[in-house]
Amino acid sequence: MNKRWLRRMDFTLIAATLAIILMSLVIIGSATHVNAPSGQRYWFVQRQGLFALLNCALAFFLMNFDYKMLQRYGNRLYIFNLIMLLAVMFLGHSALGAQRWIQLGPVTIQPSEFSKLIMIVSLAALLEDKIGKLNTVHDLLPIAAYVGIPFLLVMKQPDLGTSLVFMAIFFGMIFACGVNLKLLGWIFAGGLACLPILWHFLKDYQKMRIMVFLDPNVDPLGSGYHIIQSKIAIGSGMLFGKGLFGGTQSQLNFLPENHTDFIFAVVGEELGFVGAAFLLLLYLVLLWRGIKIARDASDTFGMLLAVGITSMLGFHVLVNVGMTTGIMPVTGIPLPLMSYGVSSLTTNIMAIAILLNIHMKKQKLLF
Amino acid sequence: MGMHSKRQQRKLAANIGIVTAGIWLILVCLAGRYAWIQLVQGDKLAAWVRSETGEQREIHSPRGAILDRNGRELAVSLMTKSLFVDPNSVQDANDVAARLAPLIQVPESEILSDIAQGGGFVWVKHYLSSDEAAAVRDLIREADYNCLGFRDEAKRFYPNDMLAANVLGFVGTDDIGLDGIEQAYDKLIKGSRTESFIQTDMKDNPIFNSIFSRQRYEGDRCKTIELTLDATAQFIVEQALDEAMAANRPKSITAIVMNPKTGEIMAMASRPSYNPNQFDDYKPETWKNKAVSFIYEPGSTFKAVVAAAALQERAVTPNQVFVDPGTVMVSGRAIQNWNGESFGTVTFTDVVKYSLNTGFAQVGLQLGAKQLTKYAKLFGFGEPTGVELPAEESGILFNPDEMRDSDIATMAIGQSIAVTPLQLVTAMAAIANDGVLMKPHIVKSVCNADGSVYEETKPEVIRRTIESATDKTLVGLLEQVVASGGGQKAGVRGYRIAGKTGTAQKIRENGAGYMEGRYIASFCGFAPVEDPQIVVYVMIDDPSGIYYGGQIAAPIASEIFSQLFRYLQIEPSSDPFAGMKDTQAAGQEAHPAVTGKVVVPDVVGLDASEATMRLESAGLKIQANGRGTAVSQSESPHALVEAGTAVTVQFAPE
Repeated sequence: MNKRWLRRMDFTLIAATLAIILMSLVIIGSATHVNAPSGQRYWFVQRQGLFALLNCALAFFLMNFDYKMLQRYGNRLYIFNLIMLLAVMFLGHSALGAQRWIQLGPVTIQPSEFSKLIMIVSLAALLEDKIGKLNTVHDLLPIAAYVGIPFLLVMKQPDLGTSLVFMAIFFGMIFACGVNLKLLGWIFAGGLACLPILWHFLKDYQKMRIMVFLDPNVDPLGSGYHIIQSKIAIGSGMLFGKGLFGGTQSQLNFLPENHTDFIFAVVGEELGFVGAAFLLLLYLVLLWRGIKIARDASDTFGMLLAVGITSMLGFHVLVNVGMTTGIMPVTGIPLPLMSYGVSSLTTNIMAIAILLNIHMKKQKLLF
Repeated sequence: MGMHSKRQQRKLAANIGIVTAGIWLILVCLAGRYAWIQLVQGDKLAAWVRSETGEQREIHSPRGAILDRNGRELAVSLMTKSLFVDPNSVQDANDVAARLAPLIQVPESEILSDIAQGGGFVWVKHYLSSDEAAAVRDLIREADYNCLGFRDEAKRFYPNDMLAANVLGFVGTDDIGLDGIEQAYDKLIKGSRTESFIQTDMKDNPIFNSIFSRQRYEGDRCKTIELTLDATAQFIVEQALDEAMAANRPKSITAIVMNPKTGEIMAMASRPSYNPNQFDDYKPETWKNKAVSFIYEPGSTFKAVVAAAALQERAVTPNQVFVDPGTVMVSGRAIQNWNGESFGTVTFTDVVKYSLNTGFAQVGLQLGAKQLTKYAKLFGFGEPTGVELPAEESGILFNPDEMRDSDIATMAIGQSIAVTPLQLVTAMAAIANDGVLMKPHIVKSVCNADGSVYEETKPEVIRRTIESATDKTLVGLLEQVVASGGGQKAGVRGYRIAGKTGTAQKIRENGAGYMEGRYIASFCGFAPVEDPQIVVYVMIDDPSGIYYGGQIAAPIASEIFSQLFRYLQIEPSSDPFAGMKDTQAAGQEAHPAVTGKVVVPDVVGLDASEATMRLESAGLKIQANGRGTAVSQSESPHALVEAGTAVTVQFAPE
């Protein structure tokens, strides 16, 4: 193996990523060993572990390519993304009240997870030569439309969480591009004004989630149940937690989706403030490396790519942790690298692989 | 890439710096929020968790079992699931009712009306069978009904159905013993309800003894009652009663078997009876234990006591000669023999043997009211025996000072006096026991859950009634009754049996005179005479057709005697049948035949000999595979199976 190649690896990022994945396997094991499919106590852990390994191997292999070639495929990837999202509408199967999944052999994939990363690549390619040139509505409109189409398709599934991630990516990246802040302000103001209209388009359960977010006690056993359970699970963990496998709320079925979207509550309950703070610290390292890589990237495409990825990861952490602690509404957003889910895991590892790739190609002059 | 590109990159980098600050701010906010929930609100939320994952709940430990003298279960409590609905969380009442109804055999309309009651808790069905509970559990999982739930409730179960029902009694709602032993020992065996904090899961299932909770399930804390009844003897007696019910179509029959040496009641039964598992389906009069609560004029069986008095007071000797006029007039009342005829000149032995009323009337008048009453009381009449059963009657004795001659004469033939079956059998037991009256009892011991003895009943001597020599004379006379007198049909070939028959006119319910054509036929006797082991009493109330005790009660007693001799391995006594001893001993099984349903013991972990012993003493057969310690058994522990079922036990070396 090429020594230089190795030297250019961002080991801090790799370490943080692997640490989060390891922690995820332990917590998924704890959260699911009681309620796993018959007999196979560690079915979820084994599956998640297997896909983590496969993805890491794939990421390693992808290091041989240069991320810059992605720029050329921006539009083709964009088309592919639209086709994939349309396929879900026609071929997908429903679960938990939404049509988000496609069965592909032994795995069920969730295309909206992948579409986030593809969106970042396409958008980075589009914005690459528009830095400092986003000053008028006329400049911004095509870009908004570009993101708007897949956004609406995801919204239609319905997957409010992922569509919000699209917006986060969009705003993160145009902000980095130096969008006219006044213009951005007007957009936000316009958005706020449109909220009552948007409210009409929300499904009943989505409205309920927002109502519940404002006051979980309006429906403590229904929609508010999740938030309350999550909060008391975390709260009862206190400083050092109840110990792995010892969380009553997580183990005794009080907390639903404890291995996916609400995994952070399990961390809080079983490992306490110490464990949760440690996990947040790992995310901080992850995001910090993401920003650093963005700054040091050798070209604007790489910078934008890194910004998009970091925005995506950051938004995920913010919304997910916010949701489990009751400061964000419940939207189905997984905690990157922690939540159980093959699609989400693959997307995130690929995203980090891209970050590593950008890092490898940074300012060659130094070497 | 020229200057232009470099400038763009710098611009980008500057913007990224702002984004960085934003991300830092967000993470700090999250950590802050986190610390707030966990470190500041932690205690409050932890208290909430406690309130949710557990509750102050009554631990309902089942009622103690009632066993026979060999440890066979007569009444057991099983923990069962009872189903409730939370109407507040029912989403589609019709859907719930339609899907639930077929699983638990409750009409849909009933479920709908349960739901319509509203509130948060309404019972749907108590005591689901395990199959029903499993089916409902599947439904709950499948349809995601969070409106249905289970609670553990102990259900009293009588594995032998009718067997000993009148002794055992039954348990009503709220675990209250309503009759029999269940009532008498209610306080001791009542399932305990202790308030305790129990950890539960989402579905409200209690979690015992896990990493979450050190708590143990303390279900078997209560006491167990061991009766003196022998389930097999009881079965023999009840079977004989069933046959007699069919043959004589009486109003009722009562029988008692007692050990004369200890006063232990080995069997006590009445017909018609009821099944305590469904006591509500039977008429309340079938619930009564007639052996202690029914009072009647005993008739000739009481003559055994009169004879005892006369012999003890030296008023007569066995060979004293009586002239039987067929009828005697006592203060204007005619007392006749059973057939209305004169037996001519007879001895006192004949008077007893043929139960001559004229002779006994004379003896009674000779003794006088005081002496008669004194002996009646000595033998335990006129007061409750004090047996451990509820609702015991004391019977009725005249005040001797108020007795006219006609009362004395009728008392001497067993009328003008009211007794309970138990009093009579206890008095006969005293005659069998060398004249020593023992206190009857039916509870052998009360055991704690760990098997240690809490309370044990020891044989209790009440008093000596008559001298030993007198008793021997009396027993000789009573043996004649069965050998060649009025009680011949009670005999069993090869055994010496003593006893007395009785046929009494039934007194009217209001006490005013006798009912024409209504009789109570009875027999009370004991065997073997040389060493009495059992006293058998049979009383037939208002038979159809033949009504003489010697004709209908004695054969039933004979049936009971002969089967009990075999079961108890009592050897025949007369020489002519000496050859029988060996053949009979050879044919005897090591364990008596047990019938009805039995509870399968848990033999896992035992070695082969111990497992065999456990199963056989429960009335089951064993089919052993392999060697070593038992690792599995084909019938699950505590299941109810037919007696005689072969249980396959798998043994494996440790």
